[in-house]
Amino acid sequence: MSTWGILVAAAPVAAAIAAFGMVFGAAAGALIGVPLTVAMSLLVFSGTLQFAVLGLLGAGAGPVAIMLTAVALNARHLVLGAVLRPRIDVSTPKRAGLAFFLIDESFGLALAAREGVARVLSTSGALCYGAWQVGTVLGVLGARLVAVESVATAVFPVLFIGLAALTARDTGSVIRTVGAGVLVATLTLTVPAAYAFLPILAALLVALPGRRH
Amino acid sequence: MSWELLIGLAVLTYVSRAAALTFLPAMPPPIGRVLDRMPPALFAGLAMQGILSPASGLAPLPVLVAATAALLVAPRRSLLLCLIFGLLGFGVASVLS
Repeated sequence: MSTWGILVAAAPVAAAIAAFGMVFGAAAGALIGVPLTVAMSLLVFSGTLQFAVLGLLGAGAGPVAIMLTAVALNARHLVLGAVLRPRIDVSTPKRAGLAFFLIDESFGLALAAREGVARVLSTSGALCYGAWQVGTVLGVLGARLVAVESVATAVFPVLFIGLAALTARDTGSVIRTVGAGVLVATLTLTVPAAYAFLPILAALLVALPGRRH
Repeated sequence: MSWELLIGLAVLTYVSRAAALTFLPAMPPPIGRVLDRMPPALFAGLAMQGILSPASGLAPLPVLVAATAALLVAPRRSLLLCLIFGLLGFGVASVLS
């Protein structure tokens, strides 16, 4: 896939990420101040985690609870990295650089690509990174559009449904995907304390049964 | 929120991304096969968390319609189509509700 092709494929995702960034910037700027907000987006670059941190800070949680939540939410990166590892044939230093751009969206696009996985990961990841920074800065500067906030709540599940569709390759995948969704819904209602761990737990449970070869 | 906590979050997040991609050895085939089956299920779980949470319960109707619209075109395996139909569904439901 050409660089232009990668950018075109990643552009709608980047637009959605920019909208999320705007919502995050507006909310975080008011809660933790502009310098920490901008630094968090620059250094952490994880919408799911950054929104979770805001929620925890708003609820008065301490550093330990925040770090534990980060461990739970970041656990999925181990899976995403392990899945991509055999598909990326570059040196260790380059892998270390690519790792910074390993987010759900760049992973989904890279996994769907049949060739040039490293380039898809870096190009789409860099585009999403730029979009997240621009969105954050616009939000901090006061671009708080009610319509954008409203749409962002819908984009979150829609984006992940799209990523699930993009990475589910056969009937077995589809069955496991539906099963994981149902399992997360059930566990959310029955074991709410484990909420942050539920996606990774459900994914593991549905992935265990399967053919050996 | 302190700068120390922010740096801790940044380091933890980067290490979680780099661990399997960069530093850990390749997984044995049986584990690799299980891991290969996880991503779509993982994304489905995250999508469900956008629809249902312990704190706020079920998402508002327009979000549910958006998710349903995205699900309808999910068999096409196009992220762009899911986004377009999801946002269309959200827009229509917002106007009607």
